Amino acid sequence: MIWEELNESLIMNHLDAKDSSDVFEKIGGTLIREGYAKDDYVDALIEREKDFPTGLDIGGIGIAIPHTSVDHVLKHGIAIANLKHPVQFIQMGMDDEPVDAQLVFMMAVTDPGKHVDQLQRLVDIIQDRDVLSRLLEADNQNEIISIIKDKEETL
Amino acid sequence: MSTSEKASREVTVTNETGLHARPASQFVQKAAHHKADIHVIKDNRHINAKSIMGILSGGIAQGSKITIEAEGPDAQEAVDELVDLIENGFDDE
Repeated sequence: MIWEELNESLIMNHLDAKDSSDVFEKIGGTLIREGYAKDDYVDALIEREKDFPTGLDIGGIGIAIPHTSVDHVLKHGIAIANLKHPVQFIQMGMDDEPVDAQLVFMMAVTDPGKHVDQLQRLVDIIQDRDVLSRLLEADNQNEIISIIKDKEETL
Repeated sequence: MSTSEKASREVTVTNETGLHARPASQFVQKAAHHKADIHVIKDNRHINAKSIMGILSGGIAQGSKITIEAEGPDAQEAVDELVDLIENGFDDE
């Protein structure tokens, strides 16, 4: 289960970020500081996002799921932030269709094959608009963890 | 001037779970073995075939019509192999 592995130090409520690079620096920087990613992780995120954008529009709620290749990752983890102000991302699979992201799920993935069930579960969670709207309102780390726990128990 | 090879083919996903978890993982691993840039096109969305998150988020279910498109030295081989994987089902099903 994802919720069991969530680490409070990787959850940020009402994060104040001015643009997507700022999001990468703040959340990615936390993953580096907490020992989940290598020093070049943030640069790698920014580069990858240019080639393969990760914004998604889920029934009108904008989210982003930035990630990199395993080369920049030390330990498997997921950082979650709800943003104080929406930040523009480009939608996954589109050339330049923007989406205002309000939630960010940043993944440090060490072995996609091994974590595939967990990644699938994350996709199931983020495709539920009601869960997203509750996550948007969450004011602290525990609230985010319990919303995800509740959802996972229904999967 | 690039003389890079291009290939594409449409295929309908027939396995019961679509490109969910394990099939998605097998698909991405096969795609990753090729040098070509490979995309899965579904509803005008170009998904990177080498990204597990891209494929999982693509909502590719049983009955979905997708196009596999590749560009690079082994483009044709990549398209043939991935179409074959989808048409002939996945190992663990």
